[in-house]
Amino acid sequence: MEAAFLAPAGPRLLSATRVILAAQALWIVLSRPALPLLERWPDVFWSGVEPGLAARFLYAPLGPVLMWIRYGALVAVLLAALIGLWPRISSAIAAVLLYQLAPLEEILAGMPHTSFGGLTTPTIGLFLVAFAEAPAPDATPSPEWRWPVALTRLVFAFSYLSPLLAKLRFAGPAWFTADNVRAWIMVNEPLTRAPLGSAVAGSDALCWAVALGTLALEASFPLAVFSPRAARILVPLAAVFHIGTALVLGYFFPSLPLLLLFVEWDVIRAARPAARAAA
Amino acid sequence: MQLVHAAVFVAFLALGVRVRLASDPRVRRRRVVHLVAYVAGAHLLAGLTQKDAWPFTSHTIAVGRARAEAPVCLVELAGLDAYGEEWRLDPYSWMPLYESVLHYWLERNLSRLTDEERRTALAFLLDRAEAARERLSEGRAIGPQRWLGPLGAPYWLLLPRPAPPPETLSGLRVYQACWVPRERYTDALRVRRRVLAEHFAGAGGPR
Repeated sequence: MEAAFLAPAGPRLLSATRVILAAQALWIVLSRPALPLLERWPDVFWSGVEPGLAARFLYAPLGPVLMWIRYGALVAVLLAALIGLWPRISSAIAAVLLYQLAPLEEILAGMPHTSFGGLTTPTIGLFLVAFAEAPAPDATPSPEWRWPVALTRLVFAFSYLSPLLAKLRFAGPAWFTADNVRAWIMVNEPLTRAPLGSAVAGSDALCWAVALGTLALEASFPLAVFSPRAARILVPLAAVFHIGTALVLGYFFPSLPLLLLFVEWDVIRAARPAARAAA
Repeated sequence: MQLVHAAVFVAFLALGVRVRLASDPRVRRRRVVHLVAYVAGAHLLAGLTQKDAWPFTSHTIAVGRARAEAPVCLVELAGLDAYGEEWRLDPYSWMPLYESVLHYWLERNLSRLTDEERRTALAFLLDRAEAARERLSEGRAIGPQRWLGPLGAPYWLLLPRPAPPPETLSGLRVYQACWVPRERYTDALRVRRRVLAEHFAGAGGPR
């Protein structure tokens, strides 16, 4: 705990984390260009919205013009956070706007799937960046550049640990069997027509590999928060896992680029001049 | 429950601001530990109880035991051209709502709507579907590709993207489709469909 969260780190670690979070959020937000248009949908679509849910996310209809202004402001502050312009303030405003806009579909449809949208870790992470000091490029190593990064990594690691807990609760250890994996492929296949679904479903060995690989990754990924050595193994495995999930089940993981959060950016950047000097 | 979920988030903000306000290194360190413990605890609780309090979330997906023999029923949408021919539509036709989210909305709300409300909703959706079809037919992108081209982030559920219908859409049909996964896996046509609602632009139905 002490080493993972409070050991001194170089300032570039926190700066790189801010850049990754802002870039991820910007990628998702710019991939949803019609988001402000939801405001113009007829009242009938909004008639079933639970008032408490809208209030919780501070969502109030603003009218189309203000909705575009809010969306534009989000893009602007994310760009500011990305390039390090008033990094704490821009991160704070971006996080507040993400908190409002990310769950819009959930507010309208009541479908609790906001966490699959790729904005969960950026929302919490940008708040954490705002709570921390903003590092100067030549700042000396400090725990202040470590704890927001480690906590953001922990938040991200829960996207592996929580599904494991849910599987154990709802299905027990039997989730991690070839039969269950095959059944999930069959359930998804008519919807997503994932390209490798049939090939995997037709092989006991591949179904077992998916089942046991899922168990191993979801149970062990939190170690990546505490051990850079574990991260070096688990992060590439996670990337392979997500590509596999898209090909076998048709589930895309929009947070895939956030695996870059586990790179020790301050060590890499610091090592380069030393390597050049040695050469 | 919404109040509880809001309180979980407000407490996170409060603990973060406490860290921000601490200037003494020892106090700040203690407050950071509190914040870390809170964030970890809130996530763990969401995971264990499966209560989603976004952004403290349970990440619930594909968590039960799948039953390939149990019937599955979902809402489906089909576009209709002037001749009454049905077309599967691009799942990004309804953006900013993705098709699976819209299906969920229809499943939850369609039955409670009055005839007039139903007409309003389906007429609006038909307009959106036609606008998307027109755009795609002209070779212009919709959905995530509209601004970012091939780099746009897809929605998490990767639904197939059929080619746009060649003719103008003049109607929309909402089905409830039911199937048994194991049967449909071997025979894609083994689906029972029941019309829940339909809407035609202008005066009447297909020619």
